[in-house]
Amino acid sequence: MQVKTTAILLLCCVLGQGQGHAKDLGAPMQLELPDADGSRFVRLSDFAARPLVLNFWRSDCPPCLQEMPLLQQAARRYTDAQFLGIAAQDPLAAHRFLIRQTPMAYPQLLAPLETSGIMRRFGNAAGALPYTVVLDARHQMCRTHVGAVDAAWLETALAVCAPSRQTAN
Amino acid sequence: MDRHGLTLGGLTLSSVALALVSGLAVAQTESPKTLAPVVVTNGGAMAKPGALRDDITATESIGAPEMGKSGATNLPELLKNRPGVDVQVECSVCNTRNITLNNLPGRFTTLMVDGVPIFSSVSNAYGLDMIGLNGLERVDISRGAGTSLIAPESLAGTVNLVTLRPTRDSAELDFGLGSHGFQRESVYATKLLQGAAFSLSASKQKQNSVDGIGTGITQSTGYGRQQVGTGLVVDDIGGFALKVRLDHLEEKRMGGPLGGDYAGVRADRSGNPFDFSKGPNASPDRNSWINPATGALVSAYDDGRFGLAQIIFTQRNQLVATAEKPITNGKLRLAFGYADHHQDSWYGGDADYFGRQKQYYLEGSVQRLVGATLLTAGLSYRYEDLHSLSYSPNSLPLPAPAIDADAYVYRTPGIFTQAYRSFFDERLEANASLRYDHNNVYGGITTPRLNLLWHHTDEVSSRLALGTGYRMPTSFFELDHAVLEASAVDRSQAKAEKSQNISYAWNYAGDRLTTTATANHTRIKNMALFVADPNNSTGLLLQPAPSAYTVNNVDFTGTWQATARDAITLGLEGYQYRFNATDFQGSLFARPKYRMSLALDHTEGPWNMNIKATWTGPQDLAKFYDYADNPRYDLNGQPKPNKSPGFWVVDSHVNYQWSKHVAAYLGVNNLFNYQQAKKDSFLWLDAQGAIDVTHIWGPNLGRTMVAGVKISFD
Repeated sequence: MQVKTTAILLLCCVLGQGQGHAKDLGAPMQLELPDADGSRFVRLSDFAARPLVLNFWRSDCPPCLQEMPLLQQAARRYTDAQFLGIAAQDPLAAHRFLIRQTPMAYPQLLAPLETSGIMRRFGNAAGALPYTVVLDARHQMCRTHVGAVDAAWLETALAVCAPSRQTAN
Repeated sequence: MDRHGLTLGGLTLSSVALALVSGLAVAQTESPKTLAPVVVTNGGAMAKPGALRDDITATESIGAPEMGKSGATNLPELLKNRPGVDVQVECSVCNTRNITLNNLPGRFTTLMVDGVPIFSSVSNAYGLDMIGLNGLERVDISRGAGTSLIAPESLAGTVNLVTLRPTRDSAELDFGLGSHGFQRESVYATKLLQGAAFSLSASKQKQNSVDGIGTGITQSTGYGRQQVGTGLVVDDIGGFALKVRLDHLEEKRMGGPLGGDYAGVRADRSGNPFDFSKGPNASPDRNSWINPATGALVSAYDDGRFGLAQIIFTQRNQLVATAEKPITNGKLRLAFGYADHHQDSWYGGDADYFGRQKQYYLEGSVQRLVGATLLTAGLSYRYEDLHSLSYSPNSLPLPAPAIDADAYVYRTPGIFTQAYRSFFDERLEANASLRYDHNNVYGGITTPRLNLLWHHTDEVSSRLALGTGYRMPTSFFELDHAVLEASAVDRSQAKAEKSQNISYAWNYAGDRLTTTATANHTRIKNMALFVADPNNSTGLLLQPAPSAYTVNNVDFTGTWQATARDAITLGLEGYQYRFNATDFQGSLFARPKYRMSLALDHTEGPWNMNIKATWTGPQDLAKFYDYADNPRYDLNGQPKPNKSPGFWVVDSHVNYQWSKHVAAYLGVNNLFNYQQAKKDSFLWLDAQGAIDVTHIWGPNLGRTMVAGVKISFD
């Protein structure tokens, strides 16, 4: 009987419909994770001066899969922002899932061996998935969302965090 | 969260209490109509060594993918050689295995299925090997007394098997072949229904007995086992999320003589089919051995294959069900467990023994947020009995049986409460619990525990746990095979075994480095022992050890993502054992003072390769086996060494995802073929020249290979 999990679940009942707003701009966020095919490490600094959309997911999370097509479309449309997927699960399980998918529109990274650190760092102490973070061009936290995103939220978040964005028609 | 100036939805824990509404399903559900808003990762999604789940209790997890990569076919194989966790083989001719936590005796580890404690001393003796890995989402390991509110008898910790909630229609077939006639076929299939999921698992596995040195006596038993099980998850039935798992298990195993002719061995009661002159420090004569007391050969062995045989047939039916329902500001949980365990055994040198055991477990609890505190209160009822029939001596025709010599009936209602709360902007989390149980034999027992979790930074945390546990000693032969021959067991002097534990865990969860260091102190009082009954020449007395058994240990585990494809894991463990050897009469199995492991995991596209080397340090055999009071000798009449040598064991596995439907695997365990039997025989003699089979400190199985394919459909 894991009491903390229960507390988190209770918390997430509400947070699942919630979204966050940055009140205070802190230091630029850092991250260094292997990409899903194991070819390299990806760092946020690789995308200097670009707004970033980080989407945390796992293949056995139904709402994560539900929002994936929308994120794929958005990544193709909002070309000024860089989308990154972060699979919070075992590399082999992530690989098994990804090989079943059509080519993803943006890079997929593998979360750290223990996800609690990165989740807390990006404002998700509850560890709830799916979780989406939008960083501005200076890579400061700008918007967060727990649960599946919708088109309106993405539109608004990018309008606030990447005001000079370009869209591809 | 506030570190970055964020509030998730502008909510804090206390505001959640006001905003919570009942009826929101928060689970991994498949149906779009009932799609849950979120799934919680709980931090240990990757389940790598050194990683902890994001829980207030220091809990390591082994997830389904890692189970697949390990090549393990059952729970003991999965848990061997992990920091702070190991598998102790207790008998070379029956392969009784226990899972040890912090190197404490295996009977102090509590096994649970979906949080329901439904294993006992009897099922732990031969049932562990029957616990397969099909249909599991993960295995959670928590070390320390009182790590679980509902398993106070876990003096060393808990191992919880968490059943998978299927999320798609699927079927997986697994065919494997390996050394020593190893053969395995298994199937696991899932079917989604409207708001529910059904699973079916079945497996069949066998392996021949092994004798690596030519004595004709097994160092590893042969076995054949089958399992069939079903699972049902219903997302909403009267507001409850229901999870049910039903398993039927069967196994036949035999050690001592080689082969699988159970009836033939039972009938073979004269002559000498063995060669006692083979192996290290062997007897000069193939038919007998040197009596240490006289220096002369004992009479030639003449008890046939049956004389050293241990034949064990096991059947087990097990049902576990849990139901959880959201209520205002909390949830209601109901749990039920049932196990029916049959063991028919023929111990050639001791007795024919037939044991029957039933267990029930009932639990009801409520969790509610009250202000900023999550309160839990509940009731539980545990029932466990044992009935037996034994024939000793096992001569033909059979003598009059001893009926229920070791029988017991335990009824233990309990009440428990727990409070969880976070402080200092969720940097500190605290969990305090108290439970009271009343056993029909041992009376009332109160067990408190306290867990604290401090988040130093987003990546660094500390956990401190103080807890106590208790366990009703059982009179099954886990303690001493002599009970098989006893006409009765006097338990009037026995006391509940109690432990006190303090554990500290430091954890770092970075992007490329994950480490955990722990320090543990466990002191066990009243450890149960069998001694001769002065009032009954054929009976035994079950009584508490006169002094405490204490284990202090520190361990470190770190995994470094060295490259995008390679992870390196280092494990270091050190143990201090404090006990008076005379007080424990050699009943403790030898454990090492140090252990170290180094592992490399390489993932590249469809390939995953891992290799792990584990060094086990010397073991103080003289102290654990109490040579001062019970000296041990080899078959040549010379004393056994006081210490075992340190040794390396290397395991390696390769998995290849051929296509989305087909995967292949190859595993080589004990790559360099290290076997204790080639250095030091499992056989030993007491001072009067009586032979026994429990001198164990190293691997009983040499190099083994397993290769197979997994075919999945979805």
